[in-house]
Amino acid sequence: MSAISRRTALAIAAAGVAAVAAGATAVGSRGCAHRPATRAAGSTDTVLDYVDRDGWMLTPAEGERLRPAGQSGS
Amino acid sequence: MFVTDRIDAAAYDCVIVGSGPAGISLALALAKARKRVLVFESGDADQPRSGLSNSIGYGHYAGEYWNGHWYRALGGTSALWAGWCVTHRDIDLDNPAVGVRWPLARPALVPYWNAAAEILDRDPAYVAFEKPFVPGFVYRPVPTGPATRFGTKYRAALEGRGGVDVALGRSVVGFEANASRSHVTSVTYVDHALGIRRPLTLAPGQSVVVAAGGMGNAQLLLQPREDGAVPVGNESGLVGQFLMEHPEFYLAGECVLEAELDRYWPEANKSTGMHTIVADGPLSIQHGLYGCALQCMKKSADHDMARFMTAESGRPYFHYDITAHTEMLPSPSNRVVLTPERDRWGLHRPSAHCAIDARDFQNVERTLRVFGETLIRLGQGGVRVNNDRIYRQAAGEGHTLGTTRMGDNPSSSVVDPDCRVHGYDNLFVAGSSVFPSGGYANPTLTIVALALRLAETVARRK
Repeated sequence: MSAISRRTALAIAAAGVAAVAAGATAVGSRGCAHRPATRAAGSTDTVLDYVDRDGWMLTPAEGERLRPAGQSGS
Repeated sequence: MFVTDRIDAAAYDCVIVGSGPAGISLALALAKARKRVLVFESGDADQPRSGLSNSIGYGHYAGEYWNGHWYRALGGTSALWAGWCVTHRDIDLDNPAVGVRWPLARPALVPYWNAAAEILDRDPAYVAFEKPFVPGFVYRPVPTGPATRFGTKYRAALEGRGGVDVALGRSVVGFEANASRSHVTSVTYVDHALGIRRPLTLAPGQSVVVAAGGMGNAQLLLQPREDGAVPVGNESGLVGQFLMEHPEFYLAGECVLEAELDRYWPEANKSTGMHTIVADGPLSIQHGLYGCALQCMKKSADHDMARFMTAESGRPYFHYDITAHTEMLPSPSNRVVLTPERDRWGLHRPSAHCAIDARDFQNVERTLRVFGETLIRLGQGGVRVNNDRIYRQAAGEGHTLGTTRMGDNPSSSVVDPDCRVHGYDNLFVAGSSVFPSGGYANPTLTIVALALRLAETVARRK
């Protein structure tokens, strides 16, 4: 942790969580520039969005209901 | 009968190198067509031959891997076979999305698959069993059951006077051809008991079929010649290239399904089928998918996700573990080559270089995800994708495919659609080495089917 401070690293991590919470479900990259994608990285655009719960592909509604009580994020 | 005396070459219409499922099926079919056949087998009737050059693997199938699937005794590697039999689909033989194309269409193989199923003690009605499952996917079980051991089942037929002679303990080590390389003129073999090499001179009307397994076929046809000329049979320069396995991904995923997967499978056969789901042709082309059978195992309603889905929908759901049986696309960089190391008979040892490509890993993940997306869209289930298993824990199924690939074009294949080496009139290859691509199907059924088809070609020769 020599190049950046622990506080900076935590801020970057928090920004990532916020991006996920805002609906970004995957992060694309090109070179060094990380760009949030707005869809799950599926193989087709013809199906519903889905969420991931420990590898399970679920509808967002199912994902909401499956989330254990007291857990707020993925 | 088993040959114990000196071999009289003139006595035979066809010489077959190897007594595995391809060699024996071919020999018996030729005998039925009243042709006289000699089969060379390195091993004995009961014991495999040791001391022969074996292979060394590199890549995903490293070290001794391939030797565990190369058995040199009467009956060949059927001694180790697990007994799974299923046909290839149209999309396995012609998939424009990934550039795979056999020079044979499926209808040309169907009658031979049916005949092969009987040889392999399977019901022809079940080796191509297929029912719709959900849109884009079909239920396509793989019939299983006791494996046919050719060395046991056909021993009496081979030992008797039925038109087939078997030269046990004798290994073919080389071929000679005429100057124009249009026909094989002699076969050189080693008699292990006597410790000597002997030539067997052939007339133009006599045929030679190399049926020594995916590794053995490449090893034989790659052996360098003392005169430095191209090895007989490798005029294309492609022998050994396009080596393929069937990558297997144990527990690549899980699924919960509303419907019982095996509802179509006859009750009497419930325990003798591997229950698998595959993407159909149109969906495969739409998504660029290729061979990937999702074997669904351990059906259970007693699973958290099955209970969750049942509670969500008010309808019963079942949970299954998924193991993926898959295809690797042919690649010239996956190949059998020879090492400088030689055995006591001068045969160079083969080394097998075989790495599963990124496309092949992604194909497994994509198939699972498209299946999951389909179930989500239909509201009929869910899929869990285990990328750790897919990308880090690949295994194999012991299949050695593609090393003498079949095709119409002599510049891109070793044998023609009749399994005849391009340019020759009497040199043929039998076995899974002629597969231009692997599909996901276990190969033995098609190995035997192509051998039966080849028998008709050889029998027609004058």
